[in-house]
Amino acid sequence: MSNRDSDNLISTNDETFDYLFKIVLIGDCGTGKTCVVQRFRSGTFIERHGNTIGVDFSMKTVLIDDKKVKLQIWDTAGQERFRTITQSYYRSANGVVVGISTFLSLQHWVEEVRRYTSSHVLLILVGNKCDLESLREVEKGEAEALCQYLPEVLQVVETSAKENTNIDSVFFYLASELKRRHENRQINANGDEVVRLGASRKLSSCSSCSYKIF
Amino acid sequence: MEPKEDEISLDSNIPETYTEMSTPIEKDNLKVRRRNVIETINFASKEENTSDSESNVPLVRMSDSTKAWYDDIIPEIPDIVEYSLSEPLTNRERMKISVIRGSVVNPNLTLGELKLLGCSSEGLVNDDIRRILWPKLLRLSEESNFSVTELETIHSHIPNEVYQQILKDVARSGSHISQDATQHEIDHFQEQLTQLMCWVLHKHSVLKLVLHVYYQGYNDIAATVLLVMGLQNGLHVLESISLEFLERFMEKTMEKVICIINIYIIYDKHVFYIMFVYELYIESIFCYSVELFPHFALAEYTTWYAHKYAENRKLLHRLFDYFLGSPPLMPLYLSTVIVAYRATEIFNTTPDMGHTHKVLCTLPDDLPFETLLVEAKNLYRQYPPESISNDVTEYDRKRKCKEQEWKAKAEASRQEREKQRQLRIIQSTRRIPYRIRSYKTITVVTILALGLYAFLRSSSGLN
Repeated sequence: MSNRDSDNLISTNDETFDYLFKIVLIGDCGTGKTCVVQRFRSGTFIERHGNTIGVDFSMKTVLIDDKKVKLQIWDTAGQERFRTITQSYYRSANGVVVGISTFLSLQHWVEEVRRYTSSHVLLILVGNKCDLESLREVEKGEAEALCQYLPEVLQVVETSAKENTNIDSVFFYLASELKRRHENRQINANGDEVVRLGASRKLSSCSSCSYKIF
Repeated sequence: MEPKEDEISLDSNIPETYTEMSTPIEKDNLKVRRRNVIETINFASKEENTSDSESNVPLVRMSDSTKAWYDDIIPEIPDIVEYSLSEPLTNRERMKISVIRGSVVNPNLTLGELKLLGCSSEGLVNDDIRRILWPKLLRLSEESNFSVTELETIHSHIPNEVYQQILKDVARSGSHISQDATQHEIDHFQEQLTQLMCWVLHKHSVLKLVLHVYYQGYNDIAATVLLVMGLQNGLHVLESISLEFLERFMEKTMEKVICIINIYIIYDKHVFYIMFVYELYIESIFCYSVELFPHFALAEYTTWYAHKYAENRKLLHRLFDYFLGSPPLMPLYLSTVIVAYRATEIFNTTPDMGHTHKVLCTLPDDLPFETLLVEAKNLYRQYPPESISNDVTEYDRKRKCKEQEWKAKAEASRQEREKQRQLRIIQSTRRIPYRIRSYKTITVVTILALGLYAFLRSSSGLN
């Protein structure tokens, strides 16, 4: 699906870019989703921002390997009752950033992503407000250990929107990974489906070269 | 009008497929909703039994010809010289104040006329007048004395989960107080705001036995009430607003709200056009049908614009005057009118869901509100909620079908992927050795054939 999104939009959008990815921010209330986006988008931290009602939209273009990667970011409300609304935004998401505050909710959110997103979606867990060490609920090591069992999760990052720690790297990492996988998919889309199977990498050269010869 | 709307989106109209496919959670929602609706109807009388309020008819269904001064106490509106003014009054505002003063002294003033004072140009002008007339618009009786100690511990009566949510949102209500407020003022404001909401929610939850009443955005309404009325007088005002106007937002999910927003936004011709064009456009790009979600109007509707215009107090309080004298759906009619007014601007944005959402969400400060308010009222008269109830049902049915379809598709493709993955793992162990074998065989045969051919050619060439 993502192939189509970006390919088609290139021809219709005024602003030029090479890739377009949709990223959705989800997670519990007050994990700092809006501040994370704000910091990434404009480099500022607003102490007095309001809560998010429904969903907010913003975008930013980043440069990766001399390619313009445009990120459309949907920042969603955390309260349970808005869940039916936010779910509609998962549909075509390429990447999901989950703001985590507790273990329990972490699993809940991952399950949510599993249910409603496409298979190619990349997931990053963000433990924001890492400047507030005394209020820590989740140890990083524990979160990482848990993520061993969650293959969807690409990375666990601790951030601070206030002190600008790791905010850009979350999005850059996500963008470059999406770009890389997107390119791989495009190459593979022309070849045999079997090639995509991770376990058969060693043998794939054989099967593909047999096709080339004949 | 009210119960009818509830019926519209009540799920008795949902097609079979939906009910079959719905998850246990959704079924649970239905139960909650049904109960809510029944209670909505009986609620007014129930509430009156327990409180000291005057009449048994809910405000929205009260006839406009009802006498405005229900307890025969004619409120006194102070003269202009007595107001605490932050900025000088314009001529129009002065005129409006004298109109209000002139009307209010009439002992036979009707509720309709009182509402009109709030709705018509400039509204109630000043917070000093609002403090007197808002309770009258809501038909509250005078006294509301609660000991401060009761309020201080009120939060212990509501579920901790809700309380924690309130604390988070109160901490983020900073835009309602001025930039240069001292820390003490901020703390005081936040404390009062928390108490105000907890008090209403506590009373509410006792009456209705529904715990999920708090929604994000409620804090914006409460903050506005607090700023105008103060804590003591604000208690019943907020309670009454919650019961009369906000009840539909206080259900377990926002689904019904979304449905209503959907239909209202698309109803107006211009806006319908936008939606239509968008659906086509987006469909062609993404190769599947995506609505332009009307979620941009959610904050406007659920907070009476208090979320957007928190910093523009004058405008916000004026809008509250208007909504207090209007039917509960009025904020949506206003949203529709605003979208129609901004049609050109909206059409000129990059046509994708994100950009449009952004533009629709960002309301300019200089909208000609007085004109738009009149237009909204006209639109309401032209298409009252009853007149489009069938469209709402139909639209909601389609939307739900679409959503179920999408969810089913997502689930099916997920299962398919799983199956494929397992198949491939099994297949790969069988197929690949075979392939290699055949590859080797073919190569060997080819080399032999080439060798034989070369041999034959060379041998025949020699001869």
